[in-house]
Amino acid sequence: MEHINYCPNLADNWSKTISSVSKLQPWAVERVGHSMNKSQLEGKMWLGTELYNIHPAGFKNAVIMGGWYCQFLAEILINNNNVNFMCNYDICEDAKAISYKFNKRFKASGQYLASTKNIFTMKLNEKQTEIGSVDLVVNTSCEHMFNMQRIREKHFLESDPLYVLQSTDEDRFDDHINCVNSTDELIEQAKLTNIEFAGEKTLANGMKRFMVIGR
Amino acid sequence: MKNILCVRWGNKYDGYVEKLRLQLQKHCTVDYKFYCLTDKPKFSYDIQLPVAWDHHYNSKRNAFWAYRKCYMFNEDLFPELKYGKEFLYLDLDVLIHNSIDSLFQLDTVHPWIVRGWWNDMETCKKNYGKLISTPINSSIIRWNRGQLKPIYDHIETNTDYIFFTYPTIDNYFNHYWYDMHNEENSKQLFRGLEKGITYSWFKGNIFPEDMDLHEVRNDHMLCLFNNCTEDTYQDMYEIIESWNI
Repeated sequence: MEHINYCPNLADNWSKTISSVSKLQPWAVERVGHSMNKSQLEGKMWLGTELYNIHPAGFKNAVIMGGWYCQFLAEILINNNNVNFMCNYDICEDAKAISYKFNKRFKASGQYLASTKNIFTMKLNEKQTEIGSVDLVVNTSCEHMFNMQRIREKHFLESDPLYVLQSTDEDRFDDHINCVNSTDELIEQAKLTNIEFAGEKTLANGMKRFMVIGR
Repeated sequence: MKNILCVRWGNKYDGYVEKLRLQLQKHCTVDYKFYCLTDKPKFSYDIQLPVAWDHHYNSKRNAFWAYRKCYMFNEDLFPELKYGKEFLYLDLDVLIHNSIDSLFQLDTVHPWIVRGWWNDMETCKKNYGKLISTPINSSIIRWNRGQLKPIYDHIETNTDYIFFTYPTIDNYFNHYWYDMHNEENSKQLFRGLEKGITYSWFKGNIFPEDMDLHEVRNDHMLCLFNNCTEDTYQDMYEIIESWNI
């Protein structure tokens, strides 16, 4: 994919979000800006492209780990990758509130849910489990958190979803607590055994990103 | 009988335990027993610290992760603590200006922890996911027996995850046991001590109106000497001696 579809509903949601954050959550303005930069979009479109190449039919029930405001990812997964439902788990209350504004159209259609649960130690959101087995797990910020092996062991030993994981070797930020130097390391962190894609890409900000897709 | 606890490990705070004990003699008139949980028991008030979590400790990653404080949340680990239901923990680097008796008169529907009123909440919110800038501080904790056992159990159950993820105990508490985004939330475990009880020597008192650093505030109960890094460590008692008051 080379672009996202900037349709009127999306424009309405996003412009109102930015206006609202500026007025009500000014401390988040800079971070919202970062979440919408060129590199963020490059990384998410890369994900959308490779995932579509492997599984064009789509997914019923997706877990998003640390999805932040999730404006690019929700648009891409739902409209490009045919994901029927996704729940974005991000521990930050602000991220949840802002993500609901960005994705108001998907929330209204019942396709998008946000939760502040930390699923490294807590159960999945009840609404998500009511939908059925999770068949897709996406984490585009593995460098920010503990190994994804824990998530496999805690939630998905039986359902065996497809994992799409991104990370980086850029360790100069304090909150990059779990960087990797290769796709092999990322695979090892999650203990994936059936790899359908592994690649790396240098984004516009100069950061190298690794991506693996597999089970 | 109330229990007042401190925790000491390593050599950084040599002499501080006795000085804290003397401060308590002066500023606490309730009936209490004083204990120090330590890796090197020596005095009658010393209690041996467990070592169960030591092997999870990584000196680079966990340099400021004061996990040893969390053993005391399971009072049953320590036969010495079988009496009394009220507990007060104090860091060794706190200065007591005035009577602390009222800390034992707080309602204990929830346990209490220092609310760092010197923090800019917008900064805390901005940095929530980055594991920095927490509005709470574990230098002083007041609880009743059993109230903090869920924290002990949570660490015990998720040791590898928690040691890997959290650089400080305050970050961990802030993510799991305090609702920074809704501080009146009755479901949160901790409540923050009100303004006017504690202030920070290195960080100020109340944001934004009273943020002078390195200023004595005698009208407060306690001064914290909480600081960020070993590089900027300053001996509290050397500072106090320089006050000339």
